[in-house]
Amino acid sequence: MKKQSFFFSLLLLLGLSFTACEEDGDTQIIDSSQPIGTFTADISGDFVAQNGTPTSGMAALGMDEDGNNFLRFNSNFTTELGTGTVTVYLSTSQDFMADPGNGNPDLMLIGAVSQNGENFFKLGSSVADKFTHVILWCGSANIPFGYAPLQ
Amino acid sequence: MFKQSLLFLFFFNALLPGVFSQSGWTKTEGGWYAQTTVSYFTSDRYYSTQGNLNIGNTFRNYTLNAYAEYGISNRLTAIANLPLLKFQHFDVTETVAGVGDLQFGLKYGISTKIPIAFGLTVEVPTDDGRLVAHAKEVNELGFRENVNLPASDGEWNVRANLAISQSFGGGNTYASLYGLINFRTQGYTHQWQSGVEVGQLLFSRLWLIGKLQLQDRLSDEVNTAVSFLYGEGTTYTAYQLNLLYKLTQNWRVTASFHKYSDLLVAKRNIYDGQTFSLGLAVEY
Repeated sequence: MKKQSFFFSLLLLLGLSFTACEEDGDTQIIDSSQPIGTFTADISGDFVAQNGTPTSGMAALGMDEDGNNFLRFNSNFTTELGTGTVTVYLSTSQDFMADPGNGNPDLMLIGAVSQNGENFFKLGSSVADKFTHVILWCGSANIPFGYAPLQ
Repeated sequence: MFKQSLLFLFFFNALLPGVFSQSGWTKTEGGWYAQTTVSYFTSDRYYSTQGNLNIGNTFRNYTLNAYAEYGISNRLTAIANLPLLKFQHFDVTETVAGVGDLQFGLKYGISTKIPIAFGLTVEVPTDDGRLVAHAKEVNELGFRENVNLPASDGEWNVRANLAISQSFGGGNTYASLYGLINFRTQGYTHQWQSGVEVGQLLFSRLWLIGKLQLQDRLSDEVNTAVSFLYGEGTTYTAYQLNLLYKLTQNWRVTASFHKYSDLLVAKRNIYDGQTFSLGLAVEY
């Protein structure tokens, strides 16, 4: 009987603890990959499709209200996603000029496109001025899907 | 005898990807033919749907194919073409394996005097067209990229073809001409194909066969609403050289070389490379 009372008390205590956690409901989860507040574009450009992909939409480089740099694809953005991973690069030209032996000075890998429509890619504290284009790249095949000149 | 020799030649030549039984001859009732082929394809030259060349990572494909014909009657032949196993990869990805689209058809001899036949083939998809190969190494952001290398295009095709054949020189030479329309589904543009084939008996057991094949789309524009991955807007000129050696009365070995060209129809949405094949066939 003593043992049963002990377990009952323990369960009650645990239940109260969880209830207390749930009631502490002001916790806000911040997705650090997304801009905080309004995103303001500094330079932007429309995508040009390559190799028969349906690539379209606009890319923009800019900042959020906290001063974080982001690359944004607008809600009209579309590309071919059925082929697998489509990676996003900042580039010094519309051509993908790989030079892995020297650290690929003309390219900066940003991430992978996860969906059509709006995409945000969080960048480092600064982005070198030399990068003038966004390139969509199918790395497995080494084939470009499109580029956007940033102006 | 000459006719019988010619028959197996045409059956062999039918083994180009997606195209088979392109001759005016049909099997005799109860007769059958079976062949297994292994082939190897490699290319790093991809032509886009606009015909622009991209030189990228090397793509390789190994295929084990089975093919069979059976004479239901002297005029009606049943055909099956089964790409039983396909291994494929880029040089930077792991290898994936799958079963290619299965083709089943009937060929009807329109005339008993002239070798002319009409054929109808259904191509059955074996999956939804997704077969993901992962990169061998992670990229600089620390994740492994992937690429879809489907063995099946995920959609049904119906092909209607007409073929006429003629032998010359006492059966030591033959020629065939065919035309075909491929009706695709799920929004992919329909295609036409045409080809000519000439065979010559060099020695008592060895045939040399040359084949020229064209493929183009029936519409002016590709459908950009569907993925180019599944052969949307694929056009080409292709040629093939075959050697067929008759081991015994019933058994033959084959070797072939297949390549694409821009000769009559430009290469679009295609990996431009060579295919080498070896085959073993039996006929009764």
